[in-house]
Amino acid sequence: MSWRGTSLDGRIVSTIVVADDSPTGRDLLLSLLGYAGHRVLAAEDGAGALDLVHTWHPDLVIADVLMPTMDGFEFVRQLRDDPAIAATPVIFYTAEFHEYEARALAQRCGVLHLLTKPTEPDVLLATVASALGRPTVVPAPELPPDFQERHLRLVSDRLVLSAHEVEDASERLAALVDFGIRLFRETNPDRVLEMACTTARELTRAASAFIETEHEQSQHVDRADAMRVSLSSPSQTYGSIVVTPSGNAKFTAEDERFLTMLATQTALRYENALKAHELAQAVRARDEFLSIAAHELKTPITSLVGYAQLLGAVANGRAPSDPEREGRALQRLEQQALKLSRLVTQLMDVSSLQAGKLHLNVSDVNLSALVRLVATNLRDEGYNVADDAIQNIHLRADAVRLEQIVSNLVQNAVRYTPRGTLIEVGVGFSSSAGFVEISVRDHGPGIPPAKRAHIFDRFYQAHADNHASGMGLGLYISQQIARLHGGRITAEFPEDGGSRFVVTLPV
Amino acid sequence: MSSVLVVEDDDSLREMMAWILSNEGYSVETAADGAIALQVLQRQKMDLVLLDMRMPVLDGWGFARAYRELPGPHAPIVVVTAARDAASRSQEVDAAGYLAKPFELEDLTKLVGQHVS
Repeated sequence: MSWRGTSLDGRIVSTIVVADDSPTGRDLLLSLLGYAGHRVLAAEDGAGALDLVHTWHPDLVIADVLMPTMDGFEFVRQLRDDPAIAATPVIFYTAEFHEYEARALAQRCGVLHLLTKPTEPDVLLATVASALGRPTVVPAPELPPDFQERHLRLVSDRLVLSAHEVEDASERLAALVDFGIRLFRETNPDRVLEMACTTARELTRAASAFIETEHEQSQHVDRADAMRVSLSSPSQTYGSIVVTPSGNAKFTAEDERFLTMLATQTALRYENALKAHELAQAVRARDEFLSIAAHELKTPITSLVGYAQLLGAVANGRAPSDPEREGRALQRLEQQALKLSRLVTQLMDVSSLQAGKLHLNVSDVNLSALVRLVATNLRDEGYNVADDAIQNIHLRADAVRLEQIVSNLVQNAVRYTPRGTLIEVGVGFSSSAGFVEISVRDHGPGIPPAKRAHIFDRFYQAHADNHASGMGLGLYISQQIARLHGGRITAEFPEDGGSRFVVTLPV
Repeated sequence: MSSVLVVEDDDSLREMMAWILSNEGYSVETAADGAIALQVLQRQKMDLVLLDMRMPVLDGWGFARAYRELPGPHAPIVVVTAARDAASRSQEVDAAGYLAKPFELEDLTKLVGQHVS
């Protein structure tokens, strides 16, 4: 006999046995049904549920299908075999319950109510109410002869499927672990991203995988079925990794989880690789600079030492006197000492700029006069320099530093163009109001397009290949000085060759 | 009288070396880059080549390669360089010796004396 009664508030209370191997599944049913006024008894498997049914004669059993030891089908078969409890209604409540075959089999065991996990609480309660209200369907006295075979096939199919899923997940995890190891060894940031794309494609069986950054939008972007996971470290987002499905396949939540794990590892490694790469580049640039600086300093020093010793030998009578050579030696001594002094000044300037300690000594400057003086000095040295300066343009600036800029630009023009080629220097008003321009135009070989972007970089030598340049500091220092004045230097490369440097300064 | 070819792009240094060596009694020729040096060597035989490495037009490496392709005999090359590792520069062009910048007057005369009789 089953126990049936009313609760204090008058509602009918039923006794329900729940069989589910998952604790969360049991807890859900216990609280949901208990709250609805039912007495609920729970078991972890079919055998436990049978014991409860024998003891309590419940109004209803809610059973999971896949349970250890004794599953749902076996439970129902044994329940129907025992006349004392055979008429107990049963609801199958399971995530596994979707195959047509399994439904048919369940119906033949007299299980008419099927609930698929997860179910909304109101659907569950409605189904329970319906099963309780409906007259108990007395099952066929004999189960179909092929019951065991069909039952076993269903369960084993399900197990094979589960085994495949486990195998698949473990393969993907292994691939991810392997990726992590390879990633750890990779120090090139670009190759880190390449590796991530390759592995992402394998991991999610995607047709393609690529990196999307703010700057590079790919043509795949619009695809609605693409899956996109952000490449973010705790401090920065570097873009997204995007995969597109092959054929009609759709990405699963599992795919997304794996892609997210991959993206997290990738972003961290990418960030480290990027930092290491930048650091290595800075160290290389510094080493190169030291080596170039040493080289540039050694040449004038060798001249100074040599000429001093030669003149000493002549003075001591150990070498023959040659007044013409001696005169030139004195010129060389002065010239090389000045060169050395310029190099040292450049090094000091860079050092001050880097430390933010280069300060301007501002006064009223006649820019036109300053530029004309530089041009005149070069003409006196025999260079072909034309100046075209609007009269008396004045501005507040550091005269010494402005002269340094103009000299540097004009000397570059002189140094990198064949002797005798015209160099044009101009001063005028800029097209933007409140600014003036100094322009230096040469008709030399110009700067190769690939190198133009870097000419204002520190230590960069556009003509390094033929060893024709100095330390690669002139344009860098000039640009920084122009910036300190609130202006800037730009480079133009006219169609007919050569280059045109324009210094724009506020008046 | 032994002959020495000074290959150096720095005008001041080239002139200075030529003066020092002519004071020692050598017959001196000069070249401002590797290409000019090759022209000199095609015109006349020299006993020693003093070679700067970083030069425009044709540098020390390019010069050494092209020089050895000319019909012999070849004068020994002594590398004169401001590079940190002068010895390895000298190995790179299979030179007979090297002189690191900055050097003094006597360093130059001694070295040249060792390589020409």
